[in-house]
Amino acid sequence: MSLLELHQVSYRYGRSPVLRDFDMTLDVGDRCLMLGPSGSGKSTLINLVCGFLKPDSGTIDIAGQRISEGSEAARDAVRRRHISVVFQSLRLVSALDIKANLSLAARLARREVTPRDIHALLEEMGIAGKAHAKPYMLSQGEAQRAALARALVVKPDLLIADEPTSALDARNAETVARLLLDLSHTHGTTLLVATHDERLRSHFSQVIDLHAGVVEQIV
Amino acid sequence: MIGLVKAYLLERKLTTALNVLLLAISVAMLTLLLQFARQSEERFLEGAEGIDLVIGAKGSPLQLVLSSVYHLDQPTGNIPLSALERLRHNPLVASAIPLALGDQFAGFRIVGTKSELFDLYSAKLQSGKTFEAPLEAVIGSAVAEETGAGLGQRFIGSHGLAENAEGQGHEHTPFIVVGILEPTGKPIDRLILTSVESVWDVHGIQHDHGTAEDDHDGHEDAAEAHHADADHGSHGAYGVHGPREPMVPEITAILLNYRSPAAAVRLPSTINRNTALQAASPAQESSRLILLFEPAIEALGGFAVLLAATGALAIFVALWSAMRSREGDLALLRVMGASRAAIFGTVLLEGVMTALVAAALGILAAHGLLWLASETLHSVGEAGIGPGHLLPEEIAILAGAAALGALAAVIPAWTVMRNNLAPILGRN
Ligand SMILES: Nc1ncnc2c1ncn2[C@@H]1O[C@H](COP(=O)(O)OP(=O)(O)O)[C@@H](O)[C@H]1O
Ligand SMILES: [Mg+2]
Repeated sequence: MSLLELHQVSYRYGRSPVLRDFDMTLDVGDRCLMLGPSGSGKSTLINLVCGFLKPDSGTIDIAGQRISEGSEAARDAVRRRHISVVFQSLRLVSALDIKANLSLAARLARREVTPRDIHALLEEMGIAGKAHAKPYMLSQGEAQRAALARALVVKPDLLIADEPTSALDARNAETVARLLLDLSHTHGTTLLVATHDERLRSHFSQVIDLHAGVVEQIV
Repeated sequence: MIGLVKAYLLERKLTTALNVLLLAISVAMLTLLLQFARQSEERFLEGAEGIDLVIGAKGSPLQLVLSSVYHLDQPTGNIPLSALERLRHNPLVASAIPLALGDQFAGFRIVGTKSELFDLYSAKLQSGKTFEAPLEAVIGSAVAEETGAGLGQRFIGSHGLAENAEGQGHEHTPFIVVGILEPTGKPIDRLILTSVESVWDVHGIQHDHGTAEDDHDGHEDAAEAHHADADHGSHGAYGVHGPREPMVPEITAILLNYRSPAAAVRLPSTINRNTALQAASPAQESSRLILLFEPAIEALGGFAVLLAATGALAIFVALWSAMRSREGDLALLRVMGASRAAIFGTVLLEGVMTALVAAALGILAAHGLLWLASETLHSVGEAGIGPGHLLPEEIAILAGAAALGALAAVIPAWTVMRNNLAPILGRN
């Protein structure tokens, strides 16, 4: 069953087209790497999938629900139900500690999550000791794990990571890639990673090469 | 969401504290004004509660009321004793109580009167008995407290009504305290009460040895004519005597109660038109006085509102700059499922919460200050001003502050709510 389906999607900023008649399908359990140089349209694609942008033409469906059309509230609801995103700048809420960041995410997504669930997740990530730390007290690696924990606490069907490794050295980049793949396995989450980082290619069996909206899918 | 708002506010402790302080000061000021105005108004109206009309020498009606009901101003002059008799016999009058002013002890007025005066101020004896024999005196609770005088204490009155009046003392005629009144919160607390005859005795005025209500026909009409144009000015009735002036028994004022409401219509105008006396209504005069203070209170209130506006502006500036640094955070909240309305609400709540905390603190501080002032400053306590209780207007102030906070937050909240997410999320 396909979880994410893009059909003939086109998008342009003013006069410069970014995506043209773009097709893409992700099945439940897929782990997909979207590789493309900076400016190739990866973030635009993520914004479209999340419903922040509406395509000029074409359709986007998530778990059979159309996120490319309808009111903002309706698109918000589809996203809330199915998607979590981790950004390169992790955007942990600086005023809240790690635990509160997680419970806020759960509340916003309207998921029943107990403090024990949160603790277990942080434990799994190896940052249980940082539950009451503010984001600025965390190392880059810990912050990345915290952001991932926050994305996973809502039990998303689709986990999207935008440039998760571009600021990291080779070893850390590899660690993060492994972590993402492992987590998608253990949490049963479909994974879409967007990056210009060629180092990740070897970790993924499913890679989409994006060159200015031109796709070359290797399975 | 409240948790998030609290966290945001605590993240910028100093800014939040300063904003709260600014608004709290203005709210405290407003509350103080309100309480002060309301309480002094209440005390004032209470002071005149039992008295329908004051009769005295012609002059300013406000001065007459202030001097004979509140014992604040100088009397307008003296009136003949016969006036008391005639009013007593007037069918419109239920009761008429004389006042003879002129001397003081330690700044407290010695008032020659009758013990019915206690009832006018609903004052009860705490200890001792009422004055009967010449030179016996009953003192108000504030007099007892401040001078430390107890039953049996002797004291010498001196001329003039001001504390530092340079009148000489009446060494040969010392008063003796025979009774002390319970505290009432009314002007009587600060009075020394004795019989009218005792006041005359102290001044060496010949009078029938009876009471003031005895018949005095005979010489009084002449006295009235004399005093009608006697210029006592603003001096105490017994404070200044021309050396050749005959010393006849006189009183300073009469406190009246009507027999029926109809009297209020007829009696004052009849007295003012047809006699050399003046009739003034305490209720009317005190509301006139309150009106006099209104502009000042309004001006101060206006200033406090201006200060509150400054506070609101500070909240606006703080939120506006916070929104710039928080854009990313809030965009992420949207990604995680928050609606635009929720984002708007979060920012609005931050403004409202700041303002509400400030207003609550301000109101609390105002009541605290009133309490402190009434405990430490004599004049405030004497004026009957205390910590007071929560007035409906203070709830309105609280609501107003909340509205102000919302107003300060509405533009930042609107701006952030309308933010386009994609470009913000695209930033690294
Ligand atoms: N808000 C925007 N307005 C105009 N052009 C944009 C905007 N966002 C992105 N672009 C342009 O669209 C293209 C794709 O950008 P983006 O999706 O961010 O690529 P990537 O994430 O792969 O680096 C780039 O040429 C970029 O300059
Ligand atoms: Mg990008």
